[in-house]
Amino acid sequence: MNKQEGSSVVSLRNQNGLPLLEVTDLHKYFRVRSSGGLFGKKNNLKAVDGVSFSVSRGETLGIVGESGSGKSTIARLLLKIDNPTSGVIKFNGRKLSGLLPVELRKLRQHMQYVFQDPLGALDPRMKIIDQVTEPLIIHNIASKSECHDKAAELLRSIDLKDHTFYRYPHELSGGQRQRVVLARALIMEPQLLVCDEPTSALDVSIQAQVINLLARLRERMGLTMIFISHDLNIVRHICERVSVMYLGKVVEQAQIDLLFNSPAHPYTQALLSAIPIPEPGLNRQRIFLKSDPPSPIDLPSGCRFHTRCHRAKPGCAERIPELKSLKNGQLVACHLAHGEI
Amino acid sequence: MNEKLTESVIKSQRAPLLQISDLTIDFNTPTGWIRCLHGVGFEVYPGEILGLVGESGCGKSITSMAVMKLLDPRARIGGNVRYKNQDLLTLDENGLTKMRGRDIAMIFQDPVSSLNPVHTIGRQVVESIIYNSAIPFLNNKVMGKKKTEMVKKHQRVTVQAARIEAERLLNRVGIPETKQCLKQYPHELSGGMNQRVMIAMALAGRPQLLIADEPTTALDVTIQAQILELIRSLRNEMEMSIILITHDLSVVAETCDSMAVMYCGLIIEKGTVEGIFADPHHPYTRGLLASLPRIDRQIDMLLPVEGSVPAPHEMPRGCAFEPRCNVALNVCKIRQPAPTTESHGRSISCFNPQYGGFQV
Ligand SMILES: Nc1ncnc2c1ncn2[C@@H]1O[C@H](COP(=O)(O)OP(=O)(O)OP(=O)(O)O)[C@@H](O)[C@H]1O
Ligand SMILES: Nc1ncnc2c1ncn2[C@@H]1O[C@H](COP(=O)(O)OP(=O)(O)OP(=O)(O)O)[C@@H](O)[C@H]1O
Ligand code: SF4
Ligand SMILES: [Mg+2]
Ligand SMILES: [Mg+2]
Repeated sequence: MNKQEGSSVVSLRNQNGLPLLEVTDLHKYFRVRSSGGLFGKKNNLKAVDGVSFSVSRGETLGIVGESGSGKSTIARLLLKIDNPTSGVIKFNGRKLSGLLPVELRKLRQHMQYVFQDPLGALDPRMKIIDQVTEPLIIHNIASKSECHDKAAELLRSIDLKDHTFYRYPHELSGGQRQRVVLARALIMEPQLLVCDEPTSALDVSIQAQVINLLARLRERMGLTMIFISHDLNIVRHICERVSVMYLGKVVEQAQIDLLFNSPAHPYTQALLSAIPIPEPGLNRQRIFLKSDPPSPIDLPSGCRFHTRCHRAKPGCAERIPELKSLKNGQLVACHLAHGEI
Repeated sequence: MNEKLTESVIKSQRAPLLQISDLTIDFNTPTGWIRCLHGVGFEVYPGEILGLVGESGCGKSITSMAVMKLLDPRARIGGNVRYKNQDLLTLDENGLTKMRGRDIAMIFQDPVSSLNPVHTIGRQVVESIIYNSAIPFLNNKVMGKKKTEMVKKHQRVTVQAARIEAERLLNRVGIPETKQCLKQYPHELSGGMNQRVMIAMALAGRPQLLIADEPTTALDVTIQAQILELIRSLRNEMEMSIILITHDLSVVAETCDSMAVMYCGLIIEKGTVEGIFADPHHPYTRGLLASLPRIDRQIDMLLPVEGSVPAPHEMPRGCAFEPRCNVALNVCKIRQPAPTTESHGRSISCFNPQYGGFQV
């Protein structure tokens, strides 16, 4: 298992065993100045504060949470675009932190990402087909004509017609561009695909095209995916398990149906109740969160959610709740859910 | 259901507050004039929330800006916009100034860039109250520089009163520490708080029509739910009409009474929210609704609308939706369908509208 890095084994979906990705006690603190301008005190902004999770082969894990809760930071740490303050990330059983540059470059072939902005991810002066073959050529994987054939095949398989191959990014629609970004990520036959808000720049009618495509490719290539999104409608559609984040911490993690049918954390409950449903006259019971999100450099004591929680008890401001399992396997960090208060 | 019936009866007896017909907008671009709005028409009745939905670039914002005459002056506007009995498109600048804010107020797409970053929230809210106040000589724009002692004194009094009113408004939109908020700058507040401030400022003139352009798009869903609830309750309390611009059909389903669906600078279907969600007739509306993933049920496969929106300069000769339509007829390629009127205020622009059998 150890010497796998170089091989391009792709379809590992049912080959369970050790998880493909394992994250333990991940922290990322940023040093930032508090409001007082140039002379303001420097503070720690705890963007990711003790996050652990693992993803098995072939699984899709969703990460949801408020803006600023640390989702993109986690994505950047996983892809080693940024280094953690502390904590361990293991990919295929190997720690990312100990890798030599050569090993890291190899590893990068197996971890690809798709970010929100499809234009930013593409080189405006490069034809579509060249954008897609470029990673193959960089990694010196095949001859030029082989690369071209492979890219063309992939592009066709995601419904891009041959006449688009020789266009430039600005000559494509948003949905087409996002498909090119996907093709660029998938041409390396990665084992892990990290998607950070891959459809939020897209229109609804186009978004469904991209979501369907992702689902199809996942089946075909046995992809393992981390799917970051603030749109829980999409997350429900595409993920098998979800982590819900609030201010740098995972507050709940569960299988998708469990989470949507019996959310256990008050934040998850409020979040689910706030999502609009395309059906008039439902008259749903809404849970409105109190006040505003707290400042990330001046975090509330105890449970970070207590300032906005509709079920908070006095004790919640004192002790930090641990992320622990309920009887049904759902992980929750809430005193109330565990009957501790 | 009963409630809805009486509502539509009342509606048919009342005159619309705002009536837009044949609205066209052309922009002068380096490659010549381009038409971006192709004859849009809809009505807003007193006390109703109308949802204007459609994908990016279909013309939602320019439609609303044409109503307020806030478009780029190089744009060419045609058609009719009637507010009560006035034709807004022929109103002079003086008349418009009087009307903006006091009759029709607007909340723009991006709250942060619509607030002035160098002034406190207090100053901005107070200014909008004074600007919209019924006492014309206190309006700086009209007054100019000639300020007599009396006016100055009067203004001090009014500023006091405006401050009190500002606090009341901020309170009403759900800002907890109003006194502190008045002293703060926009960047010190969260997106949701800034959006509340924008709403407070829009309410300062007690408008009868509020146009809210994507008021929640930049916000978290938990905050979005709060803001939409606020907008609904304000409507009930102040009997305002509201045009809610959004690309989110779910928001329309939960917030609006009636809706108009736009595609490529045209309204392709309009009617009551209940009616359209129960049985959408236009193939595009059907496609949009079928492509939505939703949290309340498990769907095996989304049904996307294949293809993409044509660019303004590549508009098809016939129906704008024809290249993506799966029930298109031969005529669709050749002619543009005109809006038809059906019962219950429904109107569709399509040669082959679909009836019944729609399930998501
Ligand atoms: N380079 C940086 N320097 C300082 N602070 C940062 C930096 N990058 C991120 N942050 C802060 O870390 C926190 C988490 O940011 P992150 O981008 O991970 O959030 P997110 O969950 O992806 O939010 P969104 O949904 O808005 O994309 C935020 O408070 C953000 O301001
Ligand atoms: N000043 C301008 N000059 C030229 N074209 C313009 C101008 N303003 C808007 N347009 C064009 O008019 C069309 C409609 O724009 P509008 O801003 O109304 O779209 P929208 O429906 O509000 O989209 P979004 O959901 O992205 O806000 C677009 O094709 C846009 O490019
Ligand atoms: S007019 Fe024709 S092409 Fe347009 S939506 Fe209707 S059926 Fe489709
Ligand atoms: Mg992010
Ligand atoms: Mg707009």
